[in-house]
Amino acid sequence: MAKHTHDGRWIGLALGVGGAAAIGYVVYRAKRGSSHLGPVTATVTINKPPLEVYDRFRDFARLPDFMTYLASVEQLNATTTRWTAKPFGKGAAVSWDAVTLEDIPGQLIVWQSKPDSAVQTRGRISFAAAPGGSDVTEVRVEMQLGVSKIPASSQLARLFATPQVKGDLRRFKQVIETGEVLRSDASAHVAPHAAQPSRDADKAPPGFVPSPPTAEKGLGHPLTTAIGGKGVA
Amino acid sequence: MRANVFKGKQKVAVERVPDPEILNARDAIIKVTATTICGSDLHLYNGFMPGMQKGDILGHEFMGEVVEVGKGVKNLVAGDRVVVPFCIACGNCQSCEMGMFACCENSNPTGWIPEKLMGHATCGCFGYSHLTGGFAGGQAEYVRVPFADFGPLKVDKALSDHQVLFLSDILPTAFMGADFCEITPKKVICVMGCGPVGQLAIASARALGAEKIIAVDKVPYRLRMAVEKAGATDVINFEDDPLQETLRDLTAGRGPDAIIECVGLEAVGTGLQYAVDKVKQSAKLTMDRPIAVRDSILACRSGGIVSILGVYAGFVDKFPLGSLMNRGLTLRTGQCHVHRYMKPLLEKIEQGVLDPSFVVSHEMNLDDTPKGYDMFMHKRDEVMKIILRS
Repeated sequence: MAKHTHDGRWIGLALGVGGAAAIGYVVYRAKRGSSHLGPVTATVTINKPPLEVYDRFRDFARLPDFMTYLASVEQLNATTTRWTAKPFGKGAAVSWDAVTLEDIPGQLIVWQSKPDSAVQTRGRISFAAAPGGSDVTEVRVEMQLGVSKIPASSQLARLFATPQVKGDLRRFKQVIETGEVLRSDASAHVAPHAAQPSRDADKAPPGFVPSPPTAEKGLGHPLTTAIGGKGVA
Repeated sequence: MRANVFKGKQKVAVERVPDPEILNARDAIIKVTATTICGSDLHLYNGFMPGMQKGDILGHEFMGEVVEVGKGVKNLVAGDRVVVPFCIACGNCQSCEMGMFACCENSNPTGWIPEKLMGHATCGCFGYSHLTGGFAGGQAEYVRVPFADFGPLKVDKALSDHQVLFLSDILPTAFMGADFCEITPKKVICVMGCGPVGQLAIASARALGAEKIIAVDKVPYRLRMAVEKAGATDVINFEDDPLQETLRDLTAGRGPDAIIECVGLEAVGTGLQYAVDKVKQSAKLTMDRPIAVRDSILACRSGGIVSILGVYAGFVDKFPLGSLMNRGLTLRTGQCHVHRYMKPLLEKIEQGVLDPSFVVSHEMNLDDTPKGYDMFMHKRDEVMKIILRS
C-alpha cells in the first residue's frame, strides 16, 4: 500500500516504521549486496526448552501479544506473511509482506521483506540450548530495517529500534515464562505516569503494553514531536 | 480509595485516588488491614532514591484480606488473610527457580531503567520508585498484587497482625542477614544500626544460636531495646565511644566474626569523612553514604563475613577494597528473597521461637501517615515501628 503514497508521505511513513520500529534494518545495505545482518541485535534467556520457545514465536499471528507495535501478522501462504504495524499517531497503518527464507524448528527463523515492499526488513532469530544441554533457551535476534527510497531511515531505525526489540524480547520472555505481559500501574501508560491506579479514561486499551518512555521508546515518538506531530496522513 | 502518595522531597500526602483493578490474570486485589513505614521508605522520602514521580503510592510492607482475584489465581479466595512479600516474583524464571526471588527476571516492567544504572534489571517492588517497576504501594486502602498465585502467604487468624505483618519485609530481611553469617555459638556477631531491621537481626542471630551479639547505634532508646527486647549482649554508642577500638576491645582484638549492616545509604557517622560524604551526596556527586559498610569491613575479623542489608542505590567511593581483599573477607548482600524465608519464619513465629512484635511502637490511622514519616525520620517519641490502619 505504501508504495502508492506520494513523496510527501514518505517522511510520515518513515516515522510510522520508526514508531513501529523494529523488525529489521535496511534495504540499503542489502541493495549493495552486503549480507551483513544487524546492527539491530538483542538477546534474552528464556527458562523453557528451545522447541517450546521456537513454537511460540513461530505462531506468527500471536506475535502482537508481545511485539507492541504490531497490529497483526497474517500467514498468506506457506512462506509469506503480511505484517501490519499499529497506526502511529494520526497516521494510517503500514503493512508489508515478508518471506520466510529459512525455518528450522527449535533452531532458526530467517525472513526478508519482498523486494517491492515499502518497508524493507530482513533478519534472523535463533534459538539455542544454554550451556550444559539445559532446558533453557538463548534467543538471539539480528535485524535490518529501513524504508525504501530513504537510505538514512536505516540509521534512524537502528537508533530507535534496538530498545524496541529488546523490550519485545523481554515481553516475549514474560509471555512464555509467566503466561502474559506483566503490567504495572505506571507501565500501563504510554507517557511517564505516577505509580497509582489510573482512571478509566486514560487507561491503555486491554492487551496493549506500550514501549517504556524515553530511552526505550519506540522510534517515532521523539521524531514526530521533533517535526510537529505529523504521521502518515 | 485513600492512599499515601509521594509529593516531593520530604513531602507525602494522603489523597483520594482510583481503586486498583485487576490488570493481569495472576493479580489479586487486597484490602490492606495493616501496613507500616519502612526505614527504606525514608530513602524515598528524603529524595535519595532516583526514579520517583509525584503521585507514586508508597508502601511495600503490608498485609490484608483478599477481595478479588484474577482468573489465573487458584490458591486464594476472597476473605483470605494474607501477608504480601515486598518484592514481586513470578516463580517461573531461572532466578526464582534458584530461590533468588528478589532477582526475579519478569516482575519489573520498567527493568530497562535499573539495567542502565546497575547493569541488569532488578525485580519489581511495591511502592518503591520506577526503578522497581512503578507499582502502586500498600500505604493505601487497597492494593493490586501481581503474581498473587505465588507471593502472598496465608496466615491463621490466631496470630496477631503485629506478629505476622513483618513477614512481608523486615523479618525475612533481618533473618537473611543473620543467615548469611553462618552463626555458631562461638561466633561474635555485630549488628550495625538498631532500627527495626537491626532489632530483628539481633533477634534472628539469637534464634540461630549466637551467644555474643554487639549492637551499634547512636540512639540510646534503640540500644536499650536491643538489649532488653532483641537479645544483644553488648552495645556501643558510637557517639560516646570510638567504634573500631571498642569493637576490638570487646573481642580481644579479633573483631566480630560477622557483621550485619542494617544502615544503608543515609548512614551517619562522626569525623571528617562523614562530613565529606554528606557534602558529596547533597551535591549529587555520590548517591550513597557508605559509612556503615566501610566501618563494617574495617572492623570485621580476618576471614569473617560482612552481611549488607542496608539499601544502596549507586556507586560509592573510599570503599576499603584493600582491607576486604587482603583479609579474605566475604561480602554477602541482597534485597531479601522474602519468598524463601516466609514459611520457615511463620513456623518459628507459631512455635514461639521468634516474635517480631516487640518492634511496634506506634499505631496510627492511614490519614496520619505524613505525621508518621516525620516522626520516624526525626526519631521522635522513641519511635521504632509505626503500624498504619485505614
